[in-house]
Amino acid sequence: MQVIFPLLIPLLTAILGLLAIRSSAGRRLFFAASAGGQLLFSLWLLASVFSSGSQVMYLGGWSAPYGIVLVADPIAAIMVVLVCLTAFSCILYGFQETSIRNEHPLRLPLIQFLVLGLNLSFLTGDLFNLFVAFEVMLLASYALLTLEADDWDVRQAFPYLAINLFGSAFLIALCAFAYGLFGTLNFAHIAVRAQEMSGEPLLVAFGMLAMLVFGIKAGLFPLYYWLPNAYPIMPIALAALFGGMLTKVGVYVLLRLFGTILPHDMDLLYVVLAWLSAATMFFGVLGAASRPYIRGILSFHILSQVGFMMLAITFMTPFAFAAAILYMAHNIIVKSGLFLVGGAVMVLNRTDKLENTGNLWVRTPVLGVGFLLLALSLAGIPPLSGFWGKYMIIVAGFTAGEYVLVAIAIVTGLLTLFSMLKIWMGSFWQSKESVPVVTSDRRWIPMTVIVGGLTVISLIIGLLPEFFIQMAMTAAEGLLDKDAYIRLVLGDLP
Amino acid sequence: MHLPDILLLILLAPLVSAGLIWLFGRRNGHLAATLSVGAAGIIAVASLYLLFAFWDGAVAEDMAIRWVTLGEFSLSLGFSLNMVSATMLFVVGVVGFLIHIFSLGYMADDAGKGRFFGGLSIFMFSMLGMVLSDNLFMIFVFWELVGFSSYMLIGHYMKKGEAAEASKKAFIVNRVGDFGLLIGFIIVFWTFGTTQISELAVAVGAEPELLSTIMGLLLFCGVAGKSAQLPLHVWLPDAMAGPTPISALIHAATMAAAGVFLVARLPFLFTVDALTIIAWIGVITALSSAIWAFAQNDIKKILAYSTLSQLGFMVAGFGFGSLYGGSAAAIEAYGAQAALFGVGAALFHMTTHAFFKALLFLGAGSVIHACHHEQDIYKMGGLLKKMPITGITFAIGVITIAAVPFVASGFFSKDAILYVAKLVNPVAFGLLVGAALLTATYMGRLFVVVFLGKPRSEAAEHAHETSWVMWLPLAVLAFFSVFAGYVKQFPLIPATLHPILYDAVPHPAGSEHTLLIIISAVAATMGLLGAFLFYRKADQIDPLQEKAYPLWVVAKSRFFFDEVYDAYVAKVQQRVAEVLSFLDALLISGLLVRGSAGLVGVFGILARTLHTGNVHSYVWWFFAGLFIFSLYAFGLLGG
Repeated sequence: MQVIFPLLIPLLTAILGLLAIRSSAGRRLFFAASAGGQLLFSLWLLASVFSSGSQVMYLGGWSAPYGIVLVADPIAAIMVVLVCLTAFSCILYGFQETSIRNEHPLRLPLIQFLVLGLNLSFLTGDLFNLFVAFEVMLLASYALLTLEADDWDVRQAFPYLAINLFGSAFLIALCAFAYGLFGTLNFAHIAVRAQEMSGEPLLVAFGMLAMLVFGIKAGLFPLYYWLPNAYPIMPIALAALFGGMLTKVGVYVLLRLFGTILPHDMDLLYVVLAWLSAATMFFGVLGAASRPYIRGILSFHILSQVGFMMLAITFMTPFAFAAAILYMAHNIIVKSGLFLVGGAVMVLNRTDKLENTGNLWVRTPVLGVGFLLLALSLAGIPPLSGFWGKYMIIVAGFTAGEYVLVAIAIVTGLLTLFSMLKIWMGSFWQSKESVPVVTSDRRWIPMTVIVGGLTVISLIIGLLPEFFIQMAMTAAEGLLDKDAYIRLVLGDLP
Repeated sequence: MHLPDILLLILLAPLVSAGLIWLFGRRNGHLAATLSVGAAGIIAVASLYLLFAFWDGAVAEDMAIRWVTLGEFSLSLGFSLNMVSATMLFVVGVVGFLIHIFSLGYMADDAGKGRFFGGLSIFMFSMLGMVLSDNLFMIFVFWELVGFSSYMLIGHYMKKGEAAEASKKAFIVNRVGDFGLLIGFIIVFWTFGTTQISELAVAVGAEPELLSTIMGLLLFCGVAGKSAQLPLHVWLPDAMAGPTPISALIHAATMAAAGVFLVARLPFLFTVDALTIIAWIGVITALSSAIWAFAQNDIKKILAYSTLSQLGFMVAGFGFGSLYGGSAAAIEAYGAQAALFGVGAALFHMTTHAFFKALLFLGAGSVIHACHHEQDIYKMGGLLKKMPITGITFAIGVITIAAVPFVASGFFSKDAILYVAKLVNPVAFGLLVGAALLTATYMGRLFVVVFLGKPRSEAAEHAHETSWVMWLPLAVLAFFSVFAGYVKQFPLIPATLHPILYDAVPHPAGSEHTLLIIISAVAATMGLLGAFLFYRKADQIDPLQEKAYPLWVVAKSRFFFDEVYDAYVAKVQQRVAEVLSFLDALLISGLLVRGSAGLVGVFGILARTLHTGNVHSYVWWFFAGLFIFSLYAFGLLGG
């Protein structure tokens, strides 16, 4: 039963909030309380999945593979917690960033729809509902992207809309292809059929198409161009939520696809994906190094880090999968946190162009420490949270004998450090007399507290990695154990 | 008191100081300075107490806390104190404290004092953390932290574009080195299954055939980055854009020696081939930077090139010492002691160098301070009379680095390096002697031009001796520079360090000894005397530039390393970037974004023409559809 809550609560919250609540203050309170409640529920779900095993729910009592099925296995539960955590912090942060009078009444309900879409995409057990989840998510994101935007912003957002429409068209085509090929859309059922077809060229074609579709979502090279232009136009709170979560859905689906659904012998796919990932991480980080403003740098880094995760997937071992999962979890938290720091810089310096920012180390040292910890963590400096995932990915690469790919990954890490320190020097460490620091704008204080919360979580992951790595290992083994998944969903059916 | 408690105190003092400065001293420069110097004082007292009165010289490293265990992989955090780390602790404690004192005077009027002293404390913490770590993992963490604090301190004078560029350059060049180091560490862990240095030594001893040359060379990449060996040396001269105390502490005495410390900590990881390559890199660095120093007119840059050169000596000493120590002849003659020859030679020179180079840099700082931040030596002159204490202590520094026999600690340590080089490879020996001769000459040039003759500028005319906070450290360092060579007799060197600074240093004996003394003496005297004669009458223009222009051009070229790197960036990297951005503009913005927008637009136009709202036309479309469907249904269309 627990499985349904991550879907039901956001849906009911959104509808109730739209229909029943008139005052803006009441709306804020209601949505914040709901987001907090969702976070607690998701933690409860996570705890029970890890203590008493994965949960399956057949909606309307129709058994799989005929009905709609929701599956909460370890990876899905982890992802749901991350969604709720980022959504919660971004909602609270948004309250600071946008004054209550300027807040569009649809913003909070739309965020709940976005959360609904995200949660559904992690929990669903079939391809068609994945499509539905993507559509819910995308509709909400289109609306959010343009809700408080002017003409210029809308023009910038257009490529985002166009490419994602193509993505959706391909995804529905993929559903049709899957149905034609396997006669089913249920993940577990496809897994059974695909195993029987192992080695057939059509299966490879299916994999390629899937990679294209989810590659677009994840921002894989060379399909990433829409992302770094679209994110910087959003309010920071939304950019943080988008930057943290949205691309990771693509990564999650590829984990599921390669781990659980397709047979484990699709070597061609792995090679193609590995080199595309390497290109993504490298060009992403180069793009970041060339941007002169904080949100631009961070947006390009999203790509680079998605490349890391994808690369780990292609090594196809439980250890590599665990590395990808741990890295993804760390990245969601740290990347959202860094976007939020960017927002605080914009409040304090009235811009996030590096040449016009500065003096923040002297004036707001707590924010400075928060930024430094998050940035060094992103760059993978031990012993912060980013180090462990990155280290595991590199070890997985060594084990697989992919030395060139590992070298690209390490160079990327060093360049990441470079662009992060660019922000550090530009906005924090430098003193520039001409740059004002508007500490009288008290919004930066609660913003710093929220950043601090995310920093603490990242620190905990970094300093007590054992617990989290074990969790990632469990999730990875769950992803790669097809038979267990099939038994879980289909019971003792053939 | 237990040993771990003292080590913890040494490590926590600068960290607490950095934290307090962060909390309260960001805008209160005075408080920041007090805290930072106080922490440095605690470090100095605690390390001297430890080394003189507490520690017995036995390796102490049973202080590890198990941190992470994951299957076969486990990681402990811990401190370890052995001969190598104790030597470094001694150097960092003493030299660090003196430089902190000096900074009180030098940075007195600086607006960014809080930032400066905070950075200094972070640096001390990182450096000591690296020195005391007992495993590769922690060494790497602190290694990065050291680099980070150096990056921030080089960029202290942010408003100068030069400083910003220099910190960027230092950062990038060091990343290239660290890239190799990280891979090297991973391969070491991969091969031997542990990151604990003591366990690693045992594992290598058990299966030495697992070592590979490439492993050692990868580790050496990191060393070449930090200790500025060819071809990664380009950042260090530029790093002189930082405040002078930083140049003394970080870019001469301690951090730049971190590479040497690392090889001394892990001497068992290098194969014979790796050692040979490393030793030759040291020789080439020592000689080339000595040549380049001649064409520099900036007082700090001259010292920077001399630092490169002396670091080259240390690296060569490590390489040749280990090669000789590993040979059958050495083992027969000296027993197990021989295995430490490389480490001993490198560390001994590192110790003496830390004293005399800190002395020279602080002396230069004193001069710069007195001349209102003038750094061009041809705008100085005649300063000996105006600043006698600085002048005399600087002269002692020059004599020490020139390695004048018996009155200079630099003589003893350089002697050991020359000796092992001679035993292993006579050509290398010859080149190193050449480098030593050049060292004496360019240091003589520096002294003659700055302190003798007549003042060549207004600033030099009105210079006067600096305050005692600045000259006192100079006096103490001068004292160490002269006597530190007499390891056993000099009571200020802890007796616990004798095994590494005396017993493990290869000493020539008999006729060999006499020969080396003569060679050293000749090189030092010829160099100093030659410099005096040649530069005595120098005025505004360098005599070498006037009288031997081609030679000056060769030295000035610095063998085109910077030009080659710049050309690489401009011609290769920039071109690649341009091509990428062209593709970006053409394919992505043009084709994909505009294209997709256009495509959607076209669909829109088509759809609009169909949706006319005219029922009449809809009926026609309806019939057309029906017609096509019936063709299909009757099998006339398709299959």
